[in-house]
Amino acid sequence: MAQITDMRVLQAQKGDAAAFESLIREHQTRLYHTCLRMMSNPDDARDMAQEILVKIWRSLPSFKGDSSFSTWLYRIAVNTCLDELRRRKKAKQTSMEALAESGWEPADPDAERLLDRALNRELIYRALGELHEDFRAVIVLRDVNGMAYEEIAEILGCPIGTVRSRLNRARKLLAKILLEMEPNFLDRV
Amino acid sequence: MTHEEIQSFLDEYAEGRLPEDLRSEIREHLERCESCRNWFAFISEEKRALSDFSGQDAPDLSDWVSQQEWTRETAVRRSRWNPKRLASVAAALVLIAGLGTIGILSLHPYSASKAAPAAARSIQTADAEEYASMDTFSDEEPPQAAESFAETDNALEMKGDMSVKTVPGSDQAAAEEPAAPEPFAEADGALESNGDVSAKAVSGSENAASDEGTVFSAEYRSAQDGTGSAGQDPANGTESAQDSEKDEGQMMKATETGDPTALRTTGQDPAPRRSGLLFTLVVLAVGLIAVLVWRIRKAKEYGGR
Repeated sequence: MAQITDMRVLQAQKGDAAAFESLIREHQTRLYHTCLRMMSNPDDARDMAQEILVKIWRSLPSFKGDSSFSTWLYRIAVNTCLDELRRRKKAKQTSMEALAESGWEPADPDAERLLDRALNRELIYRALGELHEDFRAVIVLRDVNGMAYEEIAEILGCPIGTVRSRLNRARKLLAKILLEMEPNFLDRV
Repeated sequence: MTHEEIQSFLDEYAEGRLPEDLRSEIREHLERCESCRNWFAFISEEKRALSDFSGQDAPDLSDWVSQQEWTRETAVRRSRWNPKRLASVAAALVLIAGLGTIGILSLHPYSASKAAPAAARSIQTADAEEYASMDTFSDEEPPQAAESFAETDNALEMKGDMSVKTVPGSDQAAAEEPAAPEPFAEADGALESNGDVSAKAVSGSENAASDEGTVFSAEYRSAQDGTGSAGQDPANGTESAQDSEKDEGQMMKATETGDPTALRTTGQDPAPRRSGLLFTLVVLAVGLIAVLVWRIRKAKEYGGR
């Protein structure tokens, strides 16, 4: 039988706001970056994170502890972001050109390598924003949140084999988008 | 293993999560396969970039939470079946039931009869004007025209409309018309057997009346209800009212027994009743499906897991 072991969850279910704040403090960085990578811009990410927190607070009484609080939280987070993305079907991306034109220049070879990395990161964020939301979700859970395949399978409600194959397919598509954006991307890796 | 299979394990290989035999197989493959090595490099770069939160500080969400009013909601208010939610569900059910009832009432035969008095009144006004104009011409028109008017009056009388009695200076032909009940019964019988009210009214009133076919048909309906004439002629009005009561009794009986034959004799069709029930069922079904879909979606999203 399912059991909730975290006392903070039990207290938050009874309406203890301080216990809830403590839980959120523990997850807020990963939660925000999940939203940021899903929504592709900071303003939307903050709005979504706040909306997710309201949903979590209101749904806490129905949480039975069949999975960990973390898994439950990210399931709500990913589903809320997916719902919003499906509504909008668009995402604002950051621009690699904007970064290159920001006036910052490398002073030495190490700095040049850092710029390459920064450019790669921006390119990857941008490509991620172009990816279909279902593929984006599996990459975010795996690479932004560093979740195990078992946990991702539980959140997405599919077998582990499906998670593995979907993740591989998502990365192939991501690489394809990156190469369309920047044909020399793999040379810089 | 194929390249595809090897590549699908590279993510976990990088984290050292795989069993030793699989690890060694992948290691050997990477040593001799350049494309898989490139893919491994890409995955490593992608993971590093996405897990790098530097320069993107998260807002203090817990601090934001502490400032929100909704955290002061009690556990009872947040629970699945709190009074507010129960009230919402009850209101939705009442709304669905109300829509269904409106559907039945709007399509039920009795609701249609309620609209008849207003129609009858407007028809009476039109009749009074028509008779006034007839009086104007009655002294000048040749005998043939007078006969035509007499036939028109006859037809009007047959419909039980007593406004003809109230028009001053009614002509002789109108005064000598036979009593209403007998032709009324004939017209009634013809209409009931055919069901085409306006067509029968025209055929019974010749040319002059043919222009007023629709008026007669509406008049006939008002006469059936007993509302159009009851206030103007006590004798015929009472008779009409009695007929009407008889018809209503028949309809009630037919409705209660569900006998379509009994309904047919009154000129009423059971189809509206069936349509009303169908409408109710459709509204209820749509409401229930909407509630079920909503609950399933909620359960899938949050369902306590």
